[in-house]
Amino acid sequence: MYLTLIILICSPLLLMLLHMAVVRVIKIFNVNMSNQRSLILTELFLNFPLLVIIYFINKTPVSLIYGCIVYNSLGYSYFHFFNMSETARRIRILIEIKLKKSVSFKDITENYNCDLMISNRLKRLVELGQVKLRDNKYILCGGLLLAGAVLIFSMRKLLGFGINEKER
Amino acid sequence: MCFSVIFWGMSIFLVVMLVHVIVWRVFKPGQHIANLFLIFLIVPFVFVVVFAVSNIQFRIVRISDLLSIFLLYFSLACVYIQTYPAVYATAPSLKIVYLIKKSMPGGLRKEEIKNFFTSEDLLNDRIEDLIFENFVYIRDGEIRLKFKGKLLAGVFCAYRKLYGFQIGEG
Repeated sequence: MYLTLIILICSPLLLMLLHMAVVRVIKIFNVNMSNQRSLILTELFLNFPLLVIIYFINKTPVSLIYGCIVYNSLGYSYFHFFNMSETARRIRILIEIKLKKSVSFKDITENYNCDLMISNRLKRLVELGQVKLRDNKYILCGGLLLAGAVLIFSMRKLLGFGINEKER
Repeated sequence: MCFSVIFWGMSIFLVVMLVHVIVWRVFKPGQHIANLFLIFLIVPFVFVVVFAVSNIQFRIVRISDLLSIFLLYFSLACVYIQTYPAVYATAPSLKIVYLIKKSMPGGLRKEEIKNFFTSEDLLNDRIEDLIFENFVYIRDGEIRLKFKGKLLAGVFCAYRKLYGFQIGEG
């Protein structure tokens, strides 16, 4: 039992190390794949060895269900942590200030203009296979992020946030 | 391991989630993330420690089951804590997907999508958040890092170096 818990606690670290290797292999072979997509695939792949090991240690279906919930929850959390380092505006602003010691509002607004930020996000959504460009219009083609969006807007309602305004 | 471990782990998460929803709807706390950590991690952790100590004497559950329940609860709490920033600040990518969905089957041009966003949504609010949560301060019109900001920026710089990414790339 304790071995299972140790394996599950270490699983995000394992995922990070494997993804670091995958990112480097992708770079070497010049494969056109976003870092987020490679992380999702790595996370899904790691289910198999981990769950097989957990099943052979415990030999009960309940341990398999338990391992599946815990590993994928921690993997999902790691995905968000990684995604923060890639796309979160707050983190990027902090890193930019750290590199330059201080920045003015003007510097930041020049670097982060609205057009560029939307273009980058659309490019990333296309790479993730969630939207595609047809006849110069973006249309929906994946359900994963849509499900996320519906969940997020439902959560906002549940917590008493308005649909558009940001709450503090 | 028995099914009750999964049952208790999920039940505790749902109870804490209920407390979180009530607190948010009634008080709307100022520093969201700090309060989220308090409700989802710090209070349950203290509770588990107290329970584990009393469990030594009363032997209510096996220690391995207690740890399993806590790990399951912790992993679910992490999922929620990591999802929360998207709930609170409406992640632009999710908003784009949502807008495209509403425009289907026709879809949206890039220019039409851009009309739904302003630089205030995308940037100014984030800077205000950083000031409010004590990550940065403004002096002589320049934005500078406070200790918390330096620490967080340092963690992410080191993390991206481990991946072999250039700092600022992404």
